[in-house]
Amino acid sequence: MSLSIPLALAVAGIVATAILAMCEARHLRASRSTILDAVTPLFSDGHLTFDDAGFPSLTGSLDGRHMRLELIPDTMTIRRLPQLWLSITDVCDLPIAGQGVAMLIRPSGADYYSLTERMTERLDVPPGFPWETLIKGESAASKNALDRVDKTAARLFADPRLKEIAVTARGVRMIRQLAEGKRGDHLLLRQSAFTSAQVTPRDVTELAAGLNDLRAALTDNRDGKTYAS
Amino acid sequence: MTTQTTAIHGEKVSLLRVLGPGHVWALGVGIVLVGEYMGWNFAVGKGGAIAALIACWFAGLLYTCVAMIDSEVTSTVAAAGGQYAQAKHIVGPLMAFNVGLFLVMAYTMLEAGNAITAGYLVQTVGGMAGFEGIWDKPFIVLTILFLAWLNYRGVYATLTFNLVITAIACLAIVVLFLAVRPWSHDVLDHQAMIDGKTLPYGWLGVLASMHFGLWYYLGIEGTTQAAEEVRSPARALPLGTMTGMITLLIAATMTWYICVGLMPWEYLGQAITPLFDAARLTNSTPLMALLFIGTIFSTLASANGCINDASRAWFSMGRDRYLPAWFGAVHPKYRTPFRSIVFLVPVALIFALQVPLDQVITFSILSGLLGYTFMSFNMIMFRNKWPLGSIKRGYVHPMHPLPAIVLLLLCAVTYFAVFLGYGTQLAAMMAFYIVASAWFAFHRYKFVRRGDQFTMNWPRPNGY
Repeated sequence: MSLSIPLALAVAGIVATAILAMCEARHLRASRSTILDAVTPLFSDGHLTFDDAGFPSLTGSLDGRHMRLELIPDTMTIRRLPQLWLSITDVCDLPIAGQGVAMLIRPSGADYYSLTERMTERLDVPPGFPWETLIKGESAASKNALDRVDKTAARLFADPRLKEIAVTARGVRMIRQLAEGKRGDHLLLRQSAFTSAQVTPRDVTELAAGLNDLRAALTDNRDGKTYAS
Repeated sequence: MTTQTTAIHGEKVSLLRVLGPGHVWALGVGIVLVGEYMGWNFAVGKGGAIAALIACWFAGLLYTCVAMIDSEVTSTVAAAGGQYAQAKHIVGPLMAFNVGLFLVMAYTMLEAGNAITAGYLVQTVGGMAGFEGIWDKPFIVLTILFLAWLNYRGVYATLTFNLVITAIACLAIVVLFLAVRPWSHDVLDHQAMIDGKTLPYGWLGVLASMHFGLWYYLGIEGTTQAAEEVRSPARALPLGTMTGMITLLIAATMTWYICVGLMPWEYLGQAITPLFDAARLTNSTPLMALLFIGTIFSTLASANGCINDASRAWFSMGRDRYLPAWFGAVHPKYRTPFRSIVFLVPVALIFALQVPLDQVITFSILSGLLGYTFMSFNMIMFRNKWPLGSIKRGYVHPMHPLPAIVLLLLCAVTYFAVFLGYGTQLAAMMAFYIVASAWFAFHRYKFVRRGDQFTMNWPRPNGY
């Protein structure tokens, strides 16, 4: 069978589409890779790594604390736009072994990145928290840790972008919304286009201050008990 | 790096300019637009051309009720999981299990229908190009596998450049409408095509047409996005869906007008690709190419969305242990519900390869219809258990309970319409859901962690 014009056009169309797709993917990876650029200089010994989709992670020292910044693209949403979460962790030893607590706002059941997924003990929500909060602990003793951080956490949750606060013996973590997928891209093709997502120095400063407050609440000498950092 | 970023942002800006912020609402209907490209015309076969138009408008009323009701329940943040989460919190686990299945079946059957249409179109165009031996089945398999692979890879795979191409699918209908010069009888001849049979099966035919009349809008409620993390949904929810409805209503009427004026109703009532066939009848190669692109991309976009949504509904049921927890796994690298995606591939393939398009569409419509029936009961229960003021609502729909009652009545009419001609499929579908419900109630529910399935701290409902 000879090569007809329609076949040639079809092949050309497929090739052009494939090239466009590759260019688009390359540009998208490049745009993702710059998300943490503005905050990298804040970290001493900052170490950037990238996953295959182009999302960066940053570990390093911020004001003497060992911090980890990660991005979590969340496409498990149903009837909701995809979310890009910014996770910041202060990696440190805390005297709450077996008392870890995770507080999650607006849980959907598909929050795979949340520590509530791994914790078994459901705790009552203290006053002052948003009503749509799920709190889970590692054990019944987690109530002790919750009692120490509840006021600080309630204050931090006044930020509607904050998704989760978690404290465990291995550190303190906060997850905050960084960006939301573009509506058109999601509705049409279920794509997650987080255009113009950038972590700013102010974001990191605010979150780091929150982590400091949480850590302080856990390590302050209170009720005659001694807590070490 | 800075230069690169600027260039990227420059492209994004230009893309936005092409589509325009004012067009974003129209994009919401993109994934539903496939209903104009295929499937709707089976309504013509069930009741004639005029019956199909009447059904289109009545189905519009049904979906208006759906949009109003869904906007209210969805605007409570807890319902971000869609109808499945609504059923779980408002009615109970057995209802939620069924609603989850409705969603999965509706989306998977729609995916199969899209693949059938895409395969048929490739076969047709291949035949026109002189390749008589082209077979549609490999393209059906390829379509489903390729899109499943894209979904498996999640953010690692991108399709964003297709946004503009898919917008062409919307414009193609308008261009075809103008090209057939609707203000004259040069191309269109409605009287000859209807051939004196205005209502060939009488008013019973009009009723029967309601079955496929739903196809024009099936899934429009998906454009009703739940409250985002920090966004107020009060205005956006009903506005987005209602403007989408209006767009679809206009597009549906235009589509009907073109096709009915070009094809005898007996042929139109069983065509696989009615709009592409209409373009062929104009003898215009550019129009054929445009409608080919429109059909291919609307079917692919729709199938892609279906794989995404079906797998997430299946995944959610796995997370709640309504299904084996194995399905609730997230891929460690791609962060997608990979097991659910893979599991549903053979289901879609079996239906796409073994079942005719009208029956596949019927299965999809029936599952959707069951979901809409649930919504009418759900709304009544929601208002009774959590009256206004007892729970945060971003939007309150007016005239309650009228929309719920009208919705229920229209659903009842549509069940009867499905029964007229597709009684076996109706019985088979009902039997499937009854057997599945029995399995869940008597076997599966003992594995469910009772407290964990309810993620939200809703206030106690009235009377409990």
